[in-house]
Amino acid sequence: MFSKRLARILCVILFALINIVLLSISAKHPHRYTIVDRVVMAGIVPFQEGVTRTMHFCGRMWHHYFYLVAVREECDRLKGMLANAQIEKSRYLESELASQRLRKLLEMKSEVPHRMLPAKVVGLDPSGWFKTVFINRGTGDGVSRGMAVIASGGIVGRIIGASGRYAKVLLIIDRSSAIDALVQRTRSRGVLEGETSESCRFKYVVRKANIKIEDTVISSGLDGLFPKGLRVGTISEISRPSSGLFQEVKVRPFVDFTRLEEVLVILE
Amino acid sequence: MMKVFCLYLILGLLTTVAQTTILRLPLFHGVFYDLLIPLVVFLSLNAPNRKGVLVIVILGIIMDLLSGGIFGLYLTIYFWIFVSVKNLSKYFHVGDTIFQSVLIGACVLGQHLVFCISAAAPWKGAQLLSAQTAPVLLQTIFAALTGPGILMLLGRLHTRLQNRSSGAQRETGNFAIR
Repeated sequence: MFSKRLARILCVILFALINIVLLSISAKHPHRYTIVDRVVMAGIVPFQEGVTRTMHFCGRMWHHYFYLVAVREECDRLKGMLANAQIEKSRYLESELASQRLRKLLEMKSEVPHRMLPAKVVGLDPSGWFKTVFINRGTGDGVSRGMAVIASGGIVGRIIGASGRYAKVLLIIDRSSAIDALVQRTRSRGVLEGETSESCRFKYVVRKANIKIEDTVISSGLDGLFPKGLRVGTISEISRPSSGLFQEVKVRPFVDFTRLEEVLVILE
Repeated sequence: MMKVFCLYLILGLLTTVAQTTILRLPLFHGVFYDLLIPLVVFLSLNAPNRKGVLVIVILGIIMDLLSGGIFGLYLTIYFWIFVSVKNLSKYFHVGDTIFQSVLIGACVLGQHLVFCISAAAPWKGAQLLSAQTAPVLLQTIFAALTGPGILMLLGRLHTRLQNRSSGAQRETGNFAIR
């Protein structure tokens, strides 16, 4: 009765109509949650979750790790720069301090009318009992035994031995050191002997000598070693025993021997 | 064997340089004692007499030259430490840590006593003596604490060097070097 072609067309139209009807029914209940939905969700979503998590993990890895490697590199670079800057700063600070010290030495040099040679302290006495230092000037520079050594603060000591390039200086705080000195204000004379790292003994100051604490002690020049008028230290302690001819006087040197770095050797 | 002693000499010289420069800085508050004492003790315990004496004489002379004290003080001290420890080792078990500790401490204290008599005899005034009391005690304690460790390190170095040199001798078949 119907041709095959007509039957196919009718089938297509029928399916289209059914489809439209089903869609219409479905459209009427847009968020129906069926058992199928549940099964599908239970079966698929965990995988989705896994994939999503992996993606996020990869993303985080990329952003937080690989990206951090670059950050770390930058951090290292910045740390290096900071360390360099600190070294640079320390060097500048050191230069500034050296400049200050050298300026003081220069002032001292202009105050003392003698030919002088700057030197650096390069070594210390191995024992705490003896007070000597080594300087980087020797006979090759014109330094010889007996020459006076001073610093910006005052008298340091005298040369007791010299080689071609180095010399040994006996500090005024050594027990075997002695300087003929006088009190600047009253001109009272005495002999300054080393005692401890912080003080010297000012011996043979007569009882009647008018001296007081904080008086400045200078070299008298009579010992033939140190030129007259070089500052040595200040009187820190005076005791007048009930008997005896002399006072017991202690002098605190101007020079800080624990921080001695640059000195001047008086060549004449 | 000669190489070993050259090495001790170099070690001694390096120690000398260190203790006349870095270790004397105010930063260390005078805590470092004469680090050559453990070396002298070690040589006394482990070295043949002649070579040991040779090393300590050289080191003693160098220290005397660097020091502001009477020439020969260090030499005397090192020599007597060498002789005393050598003799003590005949009667005592020198491998004991406590003994080593006491020994090094006593040597450091003895050295200070000699310096004291030489530089600041009490009858010449007690000022320097009182100023030095704290550093001397500190150094003696520090020596007693660190001395055995230094001896142990030197012992290991000695063994390693001897093994190496004996190995080299075995390889060359030359046993006559010693």
